[in-house]
Amino acid sequence: MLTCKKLVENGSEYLEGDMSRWQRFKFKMHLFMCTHCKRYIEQLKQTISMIGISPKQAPSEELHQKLAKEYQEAMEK
Amino acid sequence: MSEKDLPEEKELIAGLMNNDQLLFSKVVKAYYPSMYSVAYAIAGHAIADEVVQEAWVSGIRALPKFEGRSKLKSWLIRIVANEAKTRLRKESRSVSLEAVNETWATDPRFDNRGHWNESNTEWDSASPDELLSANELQDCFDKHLELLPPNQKQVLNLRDVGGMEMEEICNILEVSSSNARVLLHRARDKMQQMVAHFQRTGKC
Repeated sequence: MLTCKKLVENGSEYLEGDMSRWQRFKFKMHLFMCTHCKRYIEQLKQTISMIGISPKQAPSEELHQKLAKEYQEAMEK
Repeated sequence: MSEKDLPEEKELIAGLMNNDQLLFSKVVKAYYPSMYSVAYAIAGHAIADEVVQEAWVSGIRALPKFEGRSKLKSWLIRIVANEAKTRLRKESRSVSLEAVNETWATDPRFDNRGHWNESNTEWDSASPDELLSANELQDCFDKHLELLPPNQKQVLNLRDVGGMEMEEICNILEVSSSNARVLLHRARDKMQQMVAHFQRTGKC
C-alpha cells in the first residue's frame, strides 16, 4: 500500500518519469483518490518552475563590456 | 532582458555567428542569471562571476564549432559547470558532496501511518510568475534557496535552473545517481514547504 508519505518522498521520481510501470500505476491510483497528494504534486511542479525563474542577477557593466570586446575580436579574426 | 525576448534558436545562432553585437549583448544578459547560479552553486559566490566570464570566453572561441546538437544555453551551462569545477580543483577545494545524512523518518506532515496530518491548502495563484511577483515571497524564496545544504543546492541549481540532465550532473558532481535524486527531491520538497507555509501564514 502506497502511503501519502511515501508518495511525497518520491514525488520527483514520479514527475521525472523515473519509475517502473507498476510503481507509476500505484502512484496514479493514489493520486486519483487523494486530493492532498494531488495538490502536493501540483505544488511541487509549480515550485520547480519557480526555482527555474528565481535567479535574477544581472551582469555588471564591466563584465558586459569585457565580453562584448572579446566577442568583437573573435568575430573579426 | 529575458530569454523570452530572444529570437528563436536558429535565428539566434545565425545572428551570433554573423557578428551581431546587439544580439550578443542580449544573450549575455538573458543567460547570465542561470549561468551565475550554476557557477555559484558549484564554486561559491567569491569566484562565480569570474567563472561565468571564463565560460563565455571559452564559449565565444568555440562558437564557430558549435554544432547545434544541444541548445546554445545548455551548451553554455555545461561549459560553465565544467569551468566551475576546474576552478575548484585548482584551488584544491573539493566539491563538497557529503553523504546524504538527513532522514525522512520524522516528518511532522504525516502521522505514524503515513497519512497527511494537516491539510495542505491551495495556493492563491496558479502561475509561478505570479506567485514570485509578490516581493516578500521572492525574498523568502531566495533566502531559503541560500539556506539549503551545499550538496542539495548544487544538484537543484544544475537541474532546475541549468536544466542539465541527471547523468551529466552526476558526472560533474561525482555523486551516484541515487544520491543525486534524493538530494534533488529534498531540496525541491523544502522549497515547496516554504511556499506552502508562506501561502498559509503570509509570513516567511
